[in-house]
Amino acid sequence: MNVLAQDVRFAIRTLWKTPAFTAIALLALALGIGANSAIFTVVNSVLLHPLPFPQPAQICQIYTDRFGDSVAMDDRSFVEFSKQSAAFEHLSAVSGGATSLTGFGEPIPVHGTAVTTEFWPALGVGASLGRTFRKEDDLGTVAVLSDKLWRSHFNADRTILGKIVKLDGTPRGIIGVMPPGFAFPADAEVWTPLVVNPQPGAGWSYMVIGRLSAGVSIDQARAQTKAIAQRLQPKEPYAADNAGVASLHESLVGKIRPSLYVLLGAVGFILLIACANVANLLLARGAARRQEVAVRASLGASRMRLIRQLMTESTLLAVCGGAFGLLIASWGVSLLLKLVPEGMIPRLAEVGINSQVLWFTFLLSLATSLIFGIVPALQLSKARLAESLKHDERRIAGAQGLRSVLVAGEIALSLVLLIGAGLMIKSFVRLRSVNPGFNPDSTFVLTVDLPFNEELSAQQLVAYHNQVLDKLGALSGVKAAGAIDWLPFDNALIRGDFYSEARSRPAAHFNVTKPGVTPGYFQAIGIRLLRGRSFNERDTANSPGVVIVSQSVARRSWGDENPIGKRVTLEDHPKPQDWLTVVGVVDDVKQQNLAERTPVSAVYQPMTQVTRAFFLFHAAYVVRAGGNIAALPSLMRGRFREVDPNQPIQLMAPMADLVSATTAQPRFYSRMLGSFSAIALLLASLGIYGVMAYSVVQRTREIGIRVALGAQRSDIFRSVMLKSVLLVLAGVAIGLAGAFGVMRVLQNLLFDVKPTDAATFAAVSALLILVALAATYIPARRATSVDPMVALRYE
Amino acid sequence: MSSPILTLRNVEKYFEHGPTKTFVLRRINAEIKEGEFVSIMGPSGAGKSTLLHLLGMHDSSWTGEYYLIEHAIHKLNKKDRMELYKKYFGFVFQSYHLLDSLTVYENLDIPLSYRNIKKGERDSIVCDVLDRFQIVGKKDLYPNQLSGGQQQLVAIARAIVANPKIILADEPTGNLHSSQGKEIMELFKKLNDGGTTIVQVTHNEKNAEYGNRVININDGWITDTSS
Repeated sequence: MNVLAQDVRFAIRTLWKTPAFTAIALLALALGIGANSAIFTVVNSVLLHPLPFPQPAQICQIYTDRFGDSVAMDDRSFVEFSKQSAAFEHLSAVSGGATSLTGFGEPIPVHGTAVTTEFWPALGVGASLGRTFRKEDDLGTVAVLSDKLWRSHFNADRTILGKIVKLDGTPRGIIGVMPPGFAFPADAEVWTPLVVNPQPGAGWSYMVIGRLSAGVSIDQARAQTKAIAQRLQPKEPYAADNAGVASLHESLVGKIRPSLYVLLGAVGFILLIACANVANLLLARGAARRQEVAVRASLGASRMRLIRQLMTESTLLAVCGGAFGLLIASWGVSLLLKLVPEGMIPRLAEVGINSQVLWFTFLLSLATSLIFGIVPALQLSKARLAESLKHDERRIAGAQGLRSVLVAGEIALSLVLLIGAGLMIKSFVRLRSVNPGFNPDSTFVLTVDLPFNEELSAQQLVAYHNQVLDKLGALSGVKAAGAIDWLPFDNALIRGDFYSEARSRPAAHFNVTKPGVTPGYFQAIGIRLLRGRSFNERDTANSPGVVIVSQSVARRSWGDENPIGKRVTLEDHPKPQDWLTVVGVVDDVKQQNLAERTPVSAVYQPMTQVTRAFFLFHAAYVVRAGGNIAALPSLMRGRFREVDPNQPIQLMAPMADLVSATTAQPRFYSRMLGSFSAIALLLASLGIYGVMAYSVVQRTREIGIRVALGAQRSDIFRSVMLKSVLLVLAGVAIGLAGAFGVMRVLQNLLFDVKPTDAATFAAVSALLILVALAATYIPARRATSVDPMVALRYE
Repeated sequence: MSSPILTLRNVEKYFEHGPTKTFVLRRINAEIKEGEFVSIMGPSGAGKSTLLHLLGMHDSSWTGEYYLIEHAIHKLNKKDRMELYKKYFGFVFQSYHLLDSLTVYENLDIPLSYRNIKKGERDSIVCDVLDRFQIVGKKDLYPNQLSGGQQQLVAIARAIVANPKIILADEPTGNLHSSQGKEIMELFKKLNDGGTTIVQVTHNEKNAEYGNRVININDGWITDTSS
């Protein structure tokens, strides 16, 4: 212990006496460890930390339907599973959605969630104030608030229980407030009871969660679920395949896992580069310390003792670097949370630096000290004693070869990161240049979710929307105004089959979106009319049914034939009046994001001819302005309030922002990888500079002799640059080989760019070589200014 | 003067350059008895320092036989040699080689700590040596705060702090002016009078006179030994 204290004391003094070295090493380590701790903080909270419920591993999501990445269960299956499945103690259906809260000041939109009564025992949570709802309650009249909503909107009023709020116009008594931090599903702010009661002719899908019964494994539950699903749909060959059980944790975070691991891998690279840099510094300093180590050995220090002394210095450096790294991590996590697009990473509210992160940082620091410290320590401690004691430090060949290997490694790692960033940026640029099929510039959108009311007819809802549109269209500077029930890029999409009169059902998987629009919609959003006419005021509920199809519908349904006048139906069993005549063809548009490989085909109906009122409770009003749209929001809000003072506005934003929001994720990855690779590039160029500068110092005598023998300055410059070029090319070659293998992990994050895109590989390599040569320039210039008289005094 | 403490038999050291060998030491046969004060002399490049470092086991690439009392050094591995080195030797360098980041006190303490001596015991030994060398007032100074003579004084104090039987000194006054050099040589003489065997490398005839024997070496060969 005493010896350890002595080693630590000496280490502190040694580091203190070389402030430049210590500062650079600490900065590199703090950056490397800090970046790792920051990303680990997110990974730990999101991926590794169990869900904040009792026995979280027992909570699962159960599904019978699979739509691409999404899974759900229909209402009939839920009722049957609740009766038949013994694998789960509690099964609950969950249905989220926007809700408007009125009755307490300004109407506000809140994240409402309707859940069955088993929701609470399934998760194992209870209210912190009051209680949650039970079967015995009058389920149409109660609600539970989140702690966040209770504090933000009700000033944490402890007498809130029993008070009435209006949710979507329905009065509900508040019976409980949930504990702080509880928000499931994500961002839920108010929970209302859900009663699942399947009706003929209508179908609902839910997220279904359940708690495994005691002694039942998830595999057993999965097998039972598949068996029940097959029994419920004996004629559906894929019923069992489409059904399944996944741990709730996996359901929530499974999709984000690969992306977080990519980021963790990227910061791991940065740490390795930082380690290589610090190892390089230690090796360079080692040459100067050779005599000191030799003296220590001559005084009786064993090699192990020397290694221990040197490793104590490395460990001290790494632990201090880790401490600074924690500060960087804490700042980095806050920054990260600001940069993460909304909804991209689940459980973000739980992200924070905790004891596990502290341990991770401490252990990472120790591991880091081993990585960067052991090789220089071994190298230095094996120095030949007699020669080290007799010779000048400059004359002793240093570990130049090893240092060059480390720098080549740094370059290789940096290149891999840079290529990753290059691919992401190229992908992002391509994504941003995709034409969505409409013109989002100078358009502004206002969306509403009207409270569901069975008594309202479609005509009444259309009248409401037209009233709003009349007000908005009358604003000065507005060139066009229109409405659509489900706007592209607005998170929801109503899709389904359609039939054309000439053919039977269109080809498999050719389903379409079926929006209802007002006559001004196409002009307002900027969708081009390619053939025929747009909708007009003569297309009423009583006039013959008409549709406008998108170009892909026309092409796939009728080929080269003129689609105008053809007839289609949106009904499975059409009556004569359900046949609708095609009156126009418009461009296809991207519906959910710019990355859609093929646009979703669309069959538009006039809003006046939409017969099911249900579809018209949600609407987006689109306004195209003649010039600046900066003043529009307040004007639009004011005009909307003239029509309906109590209806919360769900969303009000420029259309371009909605489009841009769908590229937020790739933009985030591009920024992150771009920042990481910039740090890597900086560290690598510092490494190259260090090695070349040190090499020039070592070669001072040789250069002096060369100059004395008649070498030109340009010869010296060239020889230093050549050495650097060889080093950089070696690193680039290794990096390219590595990148070919590693970039596959980005495959799913890239749009329209191959992971082995030759142009990116070439451009990034060229950039790295240029930066590396720039880093060599100063040492090379210094070499040309060596004075042979001074240099040869080293003799 | 009694039995030999150091014995070299047919010791050779050479560097190989492809098929040719460059000899630094040739067929060295020498005995140094306990309590002797021996000076190794010769022109530059003769192999004096090489021989001294070989005796001090800083160099292990040589052939022949080397006995330290009854220990056959040539048969021992590195670890066992190091143990014997710690037990028997102290080394003084021409350019002092004090550890710059340590105080005078710590420079004296460090050889003891490498010998796993307990802290309390170390403190008492170091204080004793500081007192003997009359450098108590300088114990908290760093080497760069001392003159060359003072540094060499500390270096000698460091060499004897672990109570070695043999001190090897490589041109110990080479970097000092004459009056400082004289003080150092008198210190060596005093140590030798106290029973410590001293082997020094020197160019200086006057310094050699403090000893009782000179080994002359030239081109790697011992040319003569005179008392």
